[in-house]
Amino acid sequence: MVVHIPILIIISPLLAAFLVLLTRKYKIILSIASLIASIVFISIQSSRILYGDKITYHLGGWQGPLGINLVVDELSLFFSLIVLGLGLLIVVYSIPERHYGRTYYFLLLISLSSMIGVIYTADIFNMYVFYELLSLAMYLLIAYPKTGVTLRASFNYLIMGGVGLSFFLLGVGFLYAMTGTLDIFHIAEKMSVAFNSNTRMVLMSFVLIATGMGIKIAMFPLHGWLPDAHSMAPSPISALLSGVTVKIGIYVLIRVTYSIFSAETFFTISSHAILMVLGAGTLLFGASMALVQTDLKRLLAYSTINQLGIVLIGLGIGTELGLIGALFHVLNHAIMKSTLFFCAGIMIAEAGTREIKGLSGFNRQQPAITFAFVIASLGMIGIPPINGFASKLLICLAAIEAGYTVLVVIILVASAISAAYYFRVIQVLFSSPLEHSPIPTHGEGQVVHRGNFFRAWPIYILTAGCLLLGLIPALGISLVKPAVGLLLSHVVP
Amino acid sequence: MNSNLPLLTVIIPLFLSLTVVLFVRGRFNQAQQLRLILVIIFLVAIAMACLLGLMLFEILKGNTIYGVFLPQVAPFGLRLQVDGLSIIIAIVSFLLWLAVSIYSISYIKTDLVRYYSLLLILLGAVQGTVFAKDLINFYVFLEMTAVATYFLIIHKKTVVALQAGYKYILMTLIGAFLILLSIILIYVETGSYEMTGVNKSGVPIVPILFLVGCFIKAGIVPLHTWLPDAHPAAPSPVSAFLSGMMIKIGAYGIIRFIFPMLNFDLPATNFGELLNILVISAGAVSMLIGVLLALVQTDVKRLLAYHSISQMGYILLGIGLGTELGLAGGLYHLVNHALFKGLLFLCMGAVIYSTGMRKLDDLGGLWKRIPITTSTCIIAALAISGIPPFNGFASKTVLTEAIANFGFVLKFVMMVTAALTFASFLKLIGYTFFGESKKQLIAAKEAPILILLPMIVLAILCVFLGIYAKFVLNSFITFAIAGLVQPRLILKVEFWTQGTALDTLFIVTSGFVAYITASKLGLIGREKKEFKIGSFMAKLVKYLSIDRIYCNIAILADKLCKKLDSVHSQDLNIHLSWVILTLITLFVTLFFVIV
Repeated sequence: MVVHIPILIIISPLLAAFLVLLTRKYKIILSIASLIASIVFISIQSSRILYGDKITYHLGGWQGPLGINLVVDELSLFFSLIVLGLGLLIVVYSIPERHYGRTYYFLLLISLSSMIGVIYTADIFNMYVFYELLSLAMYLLIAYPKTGVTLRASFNYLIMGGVGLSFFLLGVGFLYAMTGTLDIFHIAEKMSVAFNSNTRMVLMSFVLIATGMGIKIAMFPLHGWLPDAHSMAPSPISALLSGVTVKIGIYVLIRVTYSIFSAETFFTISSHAILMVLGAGTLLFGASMALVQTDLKRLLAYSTINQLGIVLIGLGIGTELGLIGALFHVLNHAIMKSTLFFCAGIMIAEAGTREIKGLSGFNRQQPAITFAFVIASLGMIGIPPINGFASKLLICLAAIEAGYTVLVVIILVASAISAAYYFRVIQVLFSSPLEHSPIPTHGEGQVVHRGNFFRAWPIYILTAGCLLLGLIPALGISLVKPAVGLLLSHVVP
Repeated sequence: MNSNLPLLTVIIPLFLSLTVVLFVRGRFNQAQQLRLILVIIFLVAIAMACLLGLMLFEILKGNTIYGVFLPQVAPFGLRLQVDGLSIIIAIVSFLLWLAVSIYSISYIKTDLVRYYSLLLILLGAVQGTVFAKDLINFYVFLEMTAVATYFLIIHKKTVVALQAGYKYILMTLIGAFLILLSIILIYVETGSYEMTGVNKSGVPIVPILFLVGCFIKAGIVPLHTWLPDAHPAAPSPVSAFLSGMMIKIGAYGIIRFIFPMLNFDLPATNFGELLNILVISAGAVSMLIGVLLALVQTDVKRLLAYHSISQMGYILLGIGLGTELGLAGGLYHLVNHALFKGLLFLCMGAVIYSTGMRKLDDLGGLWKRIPITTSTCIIAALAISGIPPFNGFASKTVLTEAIANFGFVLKFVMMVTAALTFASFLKLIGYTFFGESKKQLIAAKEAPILILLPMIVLAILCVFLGIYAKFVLNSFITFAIAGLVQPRLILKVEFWTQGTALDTLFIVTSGFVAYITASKLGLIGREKKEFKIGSFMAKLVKYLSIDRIYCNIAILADKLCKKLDSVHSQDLNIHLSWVILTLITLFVTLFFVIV
């Protein structure tokens, strides 16, 4: 049993997904139970992994380069914890939406299970397959309300995501052509030889994979799909997309740049400079676009681009501190952005409009939700003592240590801009309500559940997480540090 | 010595704020809520009084108290240090806080839970800011005060308040980010967040960034434009705390972190002298521009807000001199200003409470109806103008003494500012409390006792600190600055001499003359004679309040972003072209440029 844990973590939501299709009554209980089971499985193993032990599972008993391996190391553990934790909260948040049928939960569970698959698999082609499965589920989830805008957003995402993943697949093809294996760790072993003999092929595959993942993580100027997809999707799905799904892209990027093209190669070909430049561009672009949005969820979507820019800068710096900051920011952003999207869901349902102007007086209706929104947005701006500050500070310190003072200036300028747009929302929440409440314009037809238990509690938990990680950042850093140690140790994992 | 006292001083208000949020629920009616809050304020008052008293006692013995909490989670552990300077400012802020919270019990009628929990957070954060041992703790508490203050400013939730709050938070956060940048540079250079790092670092940009950040906090011209909007928009007790304490945090930051570079006792460097000139000129410019703009205001609270800018100029002038007398004067004035400006805002709050009016034109002849408010307000006005025997006189005398060696210009600026301050308070008091009585003010009556009590106490403190100036200076102020300079000359300051009498005479006469001339010429700016648009005075006022520059920058940024948004296409084809373009660019860069 214990040996099979990695596969069980993937199987349990996958199995539940198909069971959900068969039942009408127990869909929610099944989903929650399967996710809790996965979380239990992972926490059984987590202490062992954090002590530096790596779990390898040979799928079907096939060893080595031939078979598919599942590998759970510190990095995978970190990302899978984010996925499972937030996945559970997202399912809970979806409960009050009575009209979300079996398909919704089916797709949600499939997407969560394939995310874990992407994270755990050590076979790069298998990673592609899981990623494609995940993307398919996401396209369908975005289009779930089946209104015109969501279908268009979903279609745009489908085309761009498809292009991105085919680039990824091309890159994988190049890697296979050079090394003759698909196992990440075997590719990494053979990489230095391939790099010396066939530099251009390596570069080609790197560029293809980076562009493909760049589309998935909405790196400027490949972000075209994100604002529509993130803002048009139902709120729990927005939280999933913004909080978790883009992080999978980050994970793949980290794996590829740091494990396959090991850190040395990565620096030899100066790709870190490219990541930093793109990161800075992403950061400024996201911030300035968010500044002028009038649609709440669109603003949050652009803010995601803004925050991902910071993560990219941290990855680009590539020192230990920079990576700790980047991974910690991944965690923090996942928590804060899901809080914001959850709150936005409630606000939009209450106000009946997505326009920021229409939210006036929300504080009077639901002070607790407003408080959560304020805390999370302060964290996004980077105000202590909330978690966003800690990770931003780490990345800034890393940037200056590595000699890129201008990056810190850019990060701080972007923080000031994000203060401008978040406080624009906050002041509307606190303003006195409009006399004529605007006519509902959103097409989701959501049923209003005032102060619903299942909607409020995920938000409270996440807000508590924001404050806890902000007051004691050491908690988060201790989770991230082993993963970074793994990435920077030049021995092949 | 190590102790838990500083930690408790910071934690107790924050903890009680949590208690207010959790236990004072909306389902209680207002009277019940108020009773619970009263109990909590009482608890805080007792606890803080004990803690601060114990610490003061310990510090007067010559010790410095250190407190640490979770030091192992560096760099974010709480590290506190209490010395003379911190304890003085902490005590003043606590007294002002207590006055403000008692005042608020009668004054604030809505959103009690939010208001008092924010007020408690503010107290804890201010104590944390002045107790911070290293730069990162200072920064964390600085941001906490900024955000808590924002929510207090927008308490009334009117459009004006929200706009003022928005301007406040943006400017303050930009200031804070400048300080953060400077802190990060220091950390990377010296490897620690030690507070002496600002002076140690060789990069000239570090202290300048820090200084500019503190200037924004302190509302120094030309970075003051948030202040005249934010102070009037906030509820009066909040304005009192803002003006009395919050802007002083900026001055505290300069004293604590920059002063060693300004210090004349140490071997002077070119850079240090440059900073001296920067701080002195910022101070002098603030004094003059602040008071000139105050002179033309018609809103009572806005008038007081401009005086805050002007008085902050005095404080910075003293600090910028870099001598022990200058620092003593600056610190003394900081304490005094907290008392009399807090008192003035509370008085104007009481006037607004009684009458509901805040324009000078609507007020008049109130002295018969609200004698206590009138008399406390007059005491505060005399104190701020530097008339003996009130506390403003004492600190201004020390400052006059300090600038004796610095040429005629500074002396001239100080005398002109004092005279104009006097003139502008003649206008405020004259139009508010004296003159003809307006019909709509017949029903005005004295505010409740809880509003009057803090005002009376503050007025008594103003008198006390003025009469016993020498005692206060010798036993507290010298003691507070002992860590920074050698207080030798301070003991020699004489308050009651011919020189000070002549100065006072000059201030009073020229103040009267200025007031009468200006009102004859129609320059004093009452509503009825408001300057015509396009007239010389209107242009001058517009020019002096450089608010428009910042607004235009903000508008420009907004327009640029809007442009970007409109250019940014929603078309899938364009996105896909971008993808191809990026791919090609990456190829080209990696193939030909780098390899």
